[in-house]
Amino acid sequence: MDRDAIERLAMDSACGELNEDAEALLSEYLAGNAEADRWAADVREVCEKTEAAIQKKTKNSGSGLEGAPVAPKPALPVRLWPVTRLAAAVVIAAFIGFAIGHRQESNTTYGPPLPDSASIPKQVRTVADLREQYAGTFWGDKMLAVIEHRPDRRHQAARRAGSLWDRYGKYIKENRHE
Amino acid sequence: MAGDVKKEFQEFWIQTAARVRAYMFCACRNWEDADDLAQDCYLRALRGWSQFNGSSSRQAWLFGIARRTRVDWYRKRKRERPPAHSENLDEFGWVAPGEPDADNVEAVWESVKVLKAEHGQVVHLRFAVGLSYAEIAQALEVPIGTVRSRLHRALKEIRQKIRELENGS
Repeated sequence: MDRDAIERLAMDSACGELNEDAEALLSEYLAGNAEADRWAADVREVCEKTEAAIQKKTKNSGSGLEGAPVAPKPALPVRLWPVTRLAAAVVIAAFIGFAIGHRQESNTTYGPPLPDSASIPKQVRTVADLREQYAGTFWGDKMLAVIEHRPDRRHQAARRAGSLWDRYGKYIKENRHE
Repeated sequence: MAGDVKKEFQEFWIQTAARVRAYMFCACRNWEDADDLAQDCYLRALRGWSQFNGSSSRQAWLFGIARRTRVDWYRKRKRERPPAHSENLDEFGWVAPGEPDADNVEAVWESVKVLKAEHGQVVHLRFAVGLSYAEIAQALEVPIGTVRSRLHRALKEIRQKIRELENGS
């Protein structure tokens, strides 16, 4: 075997990637070949030194995390934190706004003072008043149907009265002598 | 997040967190950034937890995410801090400090720092994390043969560098 092949096998061996049979064969070969054994030892030494140096350099975390199995807290809170903060801000702002508004409302009167109920003149027109007012007029039936929110009657009234021209003729005839 | 998944993820985190941090530390060389990178890596892992299809080991899958996180960090870092000069810079664009010490730890560490990125990845995953060739191959999405070749070349370079440093000091 050439040097490259020996070095690769030695590296595999050092990394624990050789099975028992391959390991035994390699050991046997190296036992009978001093030069190959030196190459292999060289690779093993580099592997050991590299592992030792990296382990040493990466061991000292300074935060003690290795010994303390803490749950990965930041996972969800980090993602939800801006939303939660925004929601809290909205709630606080709404509460402050409501409180200020309520306080001002209790202290301040807007616009002209409201009249008391006794001073309001009784001019409220009821449907009955309107019916009385519009009965027999040109638009009477239709107007009453609109006022009473009865669209069916409105159409009935329109059908009963005939076309606009007929109704106009009838109206003129009835009111000619007045 | 369902209770089972949360528990499962938590256990996984406890098993792997130290090694993920070590792997990140190999890239950024300070624990503060390593912690940030590890957190970012676990957030990505958590998002993709249910999409894991089992074609590789969970560990290899995680370190695949860790590798991508590191690459993203490196790119971002490079954009934010372009190197002022190209001499004596490590793979992350920083000036390589330090002199080798008696027990060779610094010499080896310096040698690892100046490795090509693809060789450095394999060395970190093997010696800092302890992944097998197969797991490294899955994490890096390369064939096992490539992992062996890269590791072999990396060890050769480290050996060469150590010799140079030893002869120079």
